[in-house]
Amino acid sequence: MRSYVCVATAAALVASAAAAESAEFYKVKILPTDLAIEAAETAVASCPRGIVSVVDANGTERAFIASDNSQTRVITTSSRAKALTALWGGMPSLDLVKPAMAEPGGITAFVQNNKGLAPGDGGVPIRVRGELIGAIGMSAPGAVAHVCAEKGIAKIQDRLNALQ
Amino acid sequence: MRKSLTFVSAGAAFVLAGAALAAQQAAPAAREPVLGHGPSERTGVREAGKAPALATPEAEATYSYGYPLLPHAISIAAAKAAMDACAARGAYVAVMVIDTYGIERVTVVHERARPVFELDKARRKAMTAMNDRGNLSSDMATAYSEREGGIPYQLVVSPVNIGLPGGAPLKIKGSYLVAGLGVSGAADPRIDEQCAMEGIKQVQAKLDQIKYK
Repeated sequence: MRSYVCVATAAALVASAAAAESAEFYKVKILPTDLAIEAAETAVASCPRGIVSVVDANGTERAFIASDNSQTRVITTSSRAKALTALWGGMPSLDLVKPAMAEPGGITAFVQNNKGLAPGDGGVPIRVRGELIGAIGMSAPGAVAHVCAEKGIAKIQDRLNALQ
Repeated sequence: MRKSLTFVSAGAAFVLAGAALAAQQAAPAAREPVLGHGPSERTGVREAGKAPALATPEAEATYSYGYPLLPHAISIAAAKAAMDACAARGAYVAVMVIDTYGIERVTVVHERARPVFELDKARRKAMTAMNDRGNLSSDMATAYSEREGGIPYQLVVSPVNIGLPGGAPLKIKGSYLVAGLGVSGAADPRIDEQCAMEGIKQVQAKLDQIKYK
């Protein structure tokens, strides 16, 4: 069975045995890489010339695919930024456009103040029982990107829910 | 009276602007020739509607638009196989595949690997394999060691290269370089290299079926 909680749990147990008063490590939900890859493959298969990036709960990249004939230099950063935006807001990055526009200074000020975020179509959070464990960022020319990202998540959702 | 004058002058300005716009639209021929995607930098600027001027018949035979790009299905299969091979040995690694331009095409990070450190080294190993014209990344280190009696400091601290085993080229039929694969994360980098070779071995049959000129 795959260890779903943080790897450091075992180390935490050892440490607590040595010193009874020692603090526990934070337990971070881990997104299994096999599932991340499968979600990325599914998303790319449904959006031709798309680029997809899957990040875990910390925002670090676990899987990335630039599909055939994709404009890597143009949209590689965009796919990552959208995944991070979805993770940051805990909601699809498309839904963050309105709050960003409502901020003083509009969406320009929002993007300048929050470097690396990109409110716009393409980022979708991955949740297990309501808990955020990662996000998918998708960039594809001439396509509705979040639909492809949602297809990728739908494929792995059952197996994610089965994890302990 | 003054008001009407301003209206008139504004109208004139509008007409002038319209004329300028029309003149701009009417002269698309003055535009720069569009640069093609691929090796046009080497063969010179491609004129619109004309075949590129080639110096020799040999050059014509080897000229092709675009650049060798591995299908992402093969790249991801190789990366996954390399990651699983390392996981079977108890090493949790990050794998990156880059194309012949040095651009990242596929990344895979095991859930127990340290993402940032290992991914950086995986990229540098893949870059080293490509830089060295499709040798292993350890070959560059070996060559330097034999020639200069050690790995130079520049190769260790370079943001692009790294003098460690773990980078391997993907070649069609052992000769045509299409991508580089870098593996990092094992305690001993020689294990990284073995995993990389195993990953490439898994896709070599598919790779050899690709047609190229």
